[in-house]
Amino acid sequence: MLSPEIGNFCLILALTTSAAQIILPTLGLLRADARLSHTAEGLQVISSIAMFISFASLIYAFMVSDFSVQLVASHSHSLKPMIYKITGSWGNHEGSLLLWIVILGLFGLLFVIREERARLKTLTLIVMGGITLSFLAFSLFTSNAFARLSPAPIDGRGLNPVLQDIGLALHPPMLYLGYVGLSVAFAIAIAGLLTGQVDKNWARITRFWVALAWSALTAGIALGSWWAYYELGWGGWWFWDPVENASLMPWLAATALLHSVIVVERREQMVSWTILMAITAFSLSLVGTFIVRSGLLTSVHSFASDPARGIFILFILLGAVGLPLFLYGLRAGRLGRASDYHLFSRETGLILNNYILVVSTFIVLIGTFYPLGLELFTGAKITVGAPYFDAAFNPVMGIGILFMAIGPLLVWRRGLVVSARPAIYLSAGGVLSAIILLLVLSGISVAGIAGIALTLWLGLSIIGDLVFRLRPWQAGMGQRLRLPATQWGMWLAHFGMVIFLTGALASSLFENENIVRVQKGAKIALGAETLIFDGVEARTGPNYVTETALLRLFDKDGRLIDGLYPEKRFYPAERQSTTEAAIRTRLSGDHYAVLGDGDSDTGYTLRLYHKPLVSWIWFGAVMMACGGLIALYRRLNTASPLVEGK
Amino acid sequence: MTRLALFLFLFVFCLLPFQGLITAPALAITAEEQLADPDLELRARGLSKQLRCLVCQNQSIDDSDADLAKDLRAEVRAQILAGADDKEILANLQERYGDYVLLKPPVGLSTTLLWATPILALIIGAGLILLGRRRKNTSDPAPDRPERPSNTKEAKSEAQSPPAFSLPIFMGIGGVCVAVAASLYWFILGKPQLPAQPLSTRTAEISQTAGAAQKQLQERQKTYETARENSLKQPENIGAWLSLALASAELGKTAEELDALRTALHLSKGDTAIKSMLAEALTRSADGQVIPEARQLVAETLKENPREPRALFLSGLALMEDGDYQGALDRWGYLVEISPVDAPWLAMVRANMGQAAEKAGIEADSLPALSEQTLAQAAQMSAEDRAQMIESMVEQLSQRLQENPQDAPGWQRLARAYEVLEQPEQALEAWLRASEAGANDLRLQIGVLERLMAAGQDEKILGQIAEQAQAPLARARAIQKDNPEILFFGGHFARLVGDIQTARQSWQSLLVRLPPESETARLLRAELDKLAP
Amino acid sequence: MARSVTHFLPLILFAILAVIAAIALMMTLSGERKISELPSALVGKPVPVTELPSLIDAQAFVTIDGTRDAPYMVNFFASWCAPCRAEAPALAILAKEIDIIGIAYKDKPEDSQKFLADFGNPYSQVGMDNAGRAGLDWGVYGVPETYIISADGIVLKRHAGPIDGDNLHKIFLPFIASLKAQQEKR
Repeated sequence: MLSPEIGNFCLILALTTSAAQIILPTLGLLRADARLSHTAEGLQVISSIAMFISFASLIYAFMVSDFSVQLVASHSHSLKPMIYKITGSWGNHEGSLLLWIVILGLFGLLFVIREERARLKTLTLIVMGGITLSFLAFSLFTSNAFARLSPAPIDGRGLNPVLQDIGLALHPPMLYLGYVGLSVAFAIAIAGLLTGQVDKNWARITRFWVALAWSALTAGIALGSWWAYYELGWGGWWFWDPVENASLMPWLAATALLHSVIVVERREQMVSWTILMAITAFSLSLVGTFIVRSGLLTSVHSFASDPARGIFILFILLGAVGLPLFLYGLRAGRLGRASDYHLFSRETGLILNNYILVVSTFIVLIGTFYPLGLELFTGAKITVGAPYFDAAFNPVMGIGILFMAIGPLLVWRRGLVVSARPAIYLSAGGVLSAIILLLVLSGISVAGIAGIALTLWLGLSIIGDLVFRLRPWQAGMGQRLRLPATQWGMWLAHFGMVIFLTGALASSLFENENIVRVQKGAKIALGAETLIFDGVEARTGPNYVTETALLRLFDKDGRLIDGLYPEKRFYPAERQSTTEAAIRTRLSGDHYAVLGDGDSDTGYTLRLYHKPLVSWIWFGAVMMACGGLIALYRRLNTASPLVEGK
Repeated sequence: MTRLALFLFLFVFCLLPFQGLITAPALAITAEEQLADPDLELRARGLSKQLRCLVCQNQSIDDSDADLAKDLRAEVRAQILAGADDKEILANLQERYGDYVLLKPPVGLSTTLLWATPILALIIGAGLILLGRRRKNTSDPAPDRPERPSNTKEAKSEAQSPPAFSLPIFMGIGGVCVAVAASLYWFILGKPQLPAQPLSTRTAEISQTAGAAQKQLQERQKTYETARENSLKQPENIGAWLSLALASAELGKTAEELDALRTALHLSKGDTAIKSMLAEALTRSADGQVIPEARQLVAETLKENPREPRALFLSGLALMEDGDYQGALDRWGYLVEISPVDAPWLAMVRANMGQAAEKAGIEADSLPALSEQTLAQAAQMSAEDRAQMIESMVEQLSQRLQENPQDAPGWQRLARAYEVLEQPEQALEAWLRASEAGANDLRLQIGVLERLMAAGQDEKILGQIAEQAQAPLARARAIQKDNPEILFFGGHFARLVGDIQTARQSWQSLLVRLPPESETARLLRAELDKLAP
Repeated sequence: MARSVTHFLPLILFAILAVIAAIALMMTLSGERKISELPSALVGKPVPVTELPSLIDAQAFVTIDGTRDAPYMVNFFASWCAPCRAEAPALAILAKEIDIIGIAYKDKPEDSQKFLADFGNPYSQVGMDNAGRAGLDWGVYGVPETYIISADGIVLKRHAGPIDGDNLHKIFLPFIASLKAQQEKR
C-alpha cells in the first residue's frame, strides 16, 4: 500500500537530487572533473523516478479515496466514478503543479536516454535541474499536494458534476507536455550560450525537442478549444480569454522557433535569434502558469487566485527568464556568422515567418496585459476583448498566410523549387476566380472573402507544390516519393492549417442559428433542414433526473437524418442542475441543440445551430500536430549527431 | 509505412461519428427576448456581442446567463426599437458603465499605444530585420565554412576516453541526497506519524459516525416532540416553553424557537434571562447579525442587569458591526472579568476579542495566558507549573509596564495574574495603577471599586482601603456622576471613613433610581436605616 | 558596441513587464486593488433623473433630481441580497449624519418591506425599482451600491459592495464630515 507520505518523501528527495544536479556537474565542469560532470545523468534519472513515484502515490490516494490527504478531501468524493477520481488528481492547483513536475521528470529522463554524453548535455541537464528545483520548491513550500488532515473527514467535497468531464481532464496533460517540452529547448539554448558553440549539431538536437514540444502544444491547445466548444455551449471555440492567450503566445513563439532552428541547422544563420526564441517560448509558458494561479487577471479559467503564490512565481520568473535574457545580452553577439542569403531564398521565407509570428505574439501580449498596465497607471478599467484581437491579430496572420504559400516554394540561398511556378499559377488563378465569383454572387463580407481567398491561396499552392513535385503523370514517381520525412511533415502541417482555416471560416460564415419557443409538434427551420419537436420527456439517469427534449432532424427532401436529445439534468445528491446540449458531429458539420426553460403549456425555448465544417478546426490542428511528429521520424532513426561528427 | 499509418489515422477519424451529450450553461439568449423584426434582431445580436457582461469573467452579454446581462440585452433592444443607431446605443451604455463595458476598447489617448501596436510592431520588426541584414552584410561575409573539425575531435576523444562514471562518488552523492531529504521530511515537511487512510479501511468508523449522527438526530427529534406536547398540555408553564425553545434550537427550527421564547417572555413578564435568550435566538436566525429587535432587547436587558453575560456578548457583537472595535473589546473584556473562570463561553469570547483586536489594529494579548492553547495547556499543568508559568509572564509584563505605565489593559492583566497567584496586595496595587492609567474607562473604575470593596473585608486595612478608593471614585464620578453603581460605592466607602453625610446622600439618590419594590431597594433602605443617626 | 545594446532589448522589455506585474501583485495583496470592483462612470456628472413609486406610500413617488439643501446618499438594496443585511447597522449610523434614499432593486414590495422591518429602515424615502431600469441608468452592476451626491446634484462617490465597519469609519464618516464642513462655509 502506497502511503501518501511516500509521495511526500519522494518529492523531497527529488528536491535534493535536483539541487545536487545543479551543484555537482557545475563543479565538475569548472574543475574539468569528468566524474562530477557525469553525475548529472544519474541524478536526473533518480530525480525522475522519485517524481514518478510521488505522482503515482497521489493518484493512488485519489483512487482509494484517502481523505486524510487534504487535496483528496477537497476535490474528490467516494461516489465519483473511478476515471474522474484519477483525473481529478490534476484538476486543481497543487495536483496540476505535480503534473508539471512529473512531465519535467519525464522529459529529463528522455533527454538522458536519447542524447549522447557531451558538454552540451551536461549543461542542459544543469539548467533543467534548475527548473525542476524551482518548481519543486514552489510545490513543497507553498502548495504541497500531500498536505494531510487529521482527523480525516468522512467524505470529500468534490462532487461537482460539471467538473466530471473527460475533455477537461485530458487538456492539462497534453498542454503541459507542450509547455514542459519547451523547457528542454530552453535548456539547450542556454547551454549553447554557455558553450558558445551553436552550430548545426546543436540545431539538430534542438529541432527534435522543439518539434516534439510543438506537436504536443498544438494538440493541447486544440483539445482545450474543443472542450470549450462543447462544454461552454454556444458554439464558440476561441474567446481571447487571458488564459487562452497565455497558451497561444508560447505556441506562436514555438512555431517561430521550429522554423528558425531549421535555418541554423542548414546554414548556421539566425543563430542568436533562435536562442532568443527558445528562451522566449519557454518564458511565455511560465508566464502562462503565472497568470492562471496568481489572481492578476480575471478569467473563466483561473484556479483559485492567490496573490501570495503569484509573488513566488514572479521570483521564479525573474530567475528563469531574467538571468537567461541577461546572459543572452552578454553572449549573443559572439554567436553565428554573417548572413549571406539572397532576398529571394528560403532563408528570407523563414525570416518572414518569424517576423509575422513574433509580431503576432507581441500583439497578443500587449492586448492581454494592457488593461492591467492602464489600470496601474491611471486607475481606469477597460476591456480588451475579442473585437480588438480580431481587428489586430487576424490581419497580421493573414499576411503570414500570404507568405506561407510562397516560403516552401523557395530554395536555400536563392531560387525556387521546380514545382513553384505551376503551383503559383494554380493558386493565383484559383484565388482570382474565387474572389470574382464570391464578390459578384454571394453576400459574404469583404473580410470573409479575404479569408476564403487566403485559404484557397495557401491550399492550392500546397497541393500544387505536391502535385508538381511528384508528377504522377510521369514515370518514376516511386523515386520522387522518397522525400525526407521533414518534407512530408511540413506539407501535412501546412495543409492542416488550411483545413483549420476552412473549418473556422465555414463555421462562422455559414452558420445557421434558430432560437424559438415552441410547443410539441412544432416544425423548426434550420437553414435548408427542418426539425420536429416531439415534446419533452422525463427520464432518469444513474444519479440524476432529466427533462429530455425529443427532436427529429430532416434534410431538405424530408428524409429523417437523426434524432437530437438535449437535456436539462438535476442531480439530487449535489442539488445541482446542468444543461446538456445535444451535438451531432459529422465531417460536414455539427448540429447542435440546447433546451431552455419552459413547460408543456407555454412551450419550451430551444436553441438550434448548424455549424458547417466546424470539426475541421480540430482535425486541422491534429493534422498540424501529426505533421510535427512525422518530421521527427528521421530524428528518431538517426544516431547521435555528435558521434557521427556530422 | 508512415504514409499508410497516416492515411489509416485520418480515415478512422473521418468515419468515426461523434455523438454525445455536452454540458452547456442554462440559457444565454432566450426566445422571448428576440425582436420580431429579423434585421433589428440581427443588429441587437451584433451589439450584444460587443458589450461585456460586467459580473462575469470575460463574456459578452450575448453569451452570459447573468441577470444583469439579460437586463442589458433588453435595454439594447429597447433602444433599437426607440430608433437609436448603433453608435448611440454603445455610447449610451459607455456613459453609464464606463469604458469597461465595451469589449472593443475605445480609441482614445489612453489606448493609443494599444491600437498602434500592430502597425508599430510591423514597422519596428521590419526595421530591425533590415538593419540586421545591412549590418551583417557590411561586416565580413564569411563564405560557407566546412564542418568545424574541433567538434568531431572533441566527440571522438570523449567517446574514446574511459567511461568517467564513478560509482563510489555517485553512491556517496546519492547517500547525501537521501540523508538531506530524510531530514527535511522528518523535521519540516512531512507527517510520518499519520498513516494512510484509504476509504475501504474506514467503513467501520464511517458507519459508526453515521450511526451516531442518526441516533443523535432521533433523540433530538424525540426531545422536541415531548417538549411540544408538554407546552400544549401546560401552556402556562414557562419551563415547558423554554424546553421547547431549546429542543427547537437543536433541530434548527428557528421559527418555533422564536415563538416559544416570545411566549415564555410574555408569561414571565419580561424576565431578563429570557429576554437575552430571545435576543440571542434572533441573532442566530439572522446569521449572526444583531438585528434591531435584538439590539432593543439587549439594551433593555443591560439596563436591568448590567452583568447579564449573553447580553454583554451580543452588545459587543453589535459594536463590532458598527465599527466600534475598541468598544467591543472593552465590553467583552468586562464580560471576561466578571465571568467565572470555568464559564463555557469564555473561549468564544476570547476568540471574538482576538478578531476585534485585529480589526482595531492593536496587539491582541501580550499575556499568552489568555490564548486558548495556553489556557488548555495551563489547565493540564500542575498547580506549581501553572504558577511558575504565570510568574514568568508576570515578570515580563511588569517590566513592560515600568516602561509604559499608561497601558491600562496591561495593568489589568497584571492584576488578574497576581490574583491567580494569590498575591492580593500586589493585585490591588496593580488595580490602582490600572485605575490611574485608564481614567476614562468607566467599567474599569467600577471594577476597581468592586475589588476594593471585596478587599475591605479585613478590618485592619479598612481605612487604608477607603482612602485608596477615593481616587477611583473621583475618576468614575467625573465620567458619569449618577451611575447607580458609583452611587452605591460612593456611599459604601464614605461610610467606611465615617462620612455619614455623604454616604446617606449617595444612597438616597441611588434609592430614588431603583424600582421601589425591588429587592435591592429593600436592602438599601435597611442599610440607610443602619446609618442613622 | 551598438550591437550588444539591441541584444539587451529583450531583457529590458521583460523587466518592464515584470515591474508592472510586481506592482499589480503588491496592490492586490495589500487590498488596494480589487479585481472585481469597477470605477463608476457617473462620478463627477449630474445625478440621473429618477422617479420611482414609493415603497412605503402607495400613492407617492420618490424623485431624485436637481439640487437640494444638503448632500445626500442613495443606496440600492434588495431583500435577497445577503451583504445588504450586513450593511444595515452601518447605514443606521450614517442615517444620523446624512439623508439616505433607498432604492429597492429588482425586489418584491412585500419582501422589501419585511427586510426593512427585520433589519431596520435607515432611509428617509424608499423607491421601488422592480424592473431594474433605474439601476441601468445609474450604472448599477450589483447590490448593494451606495452613491454620495452633493447638494448641487453631482455624483461625488460610488461605493460598490456593503459598507462594513472599516469603510464606515475610515471612508464614509470622514467624507461626510468634510462635505458638511464645506456646506457650512457657504
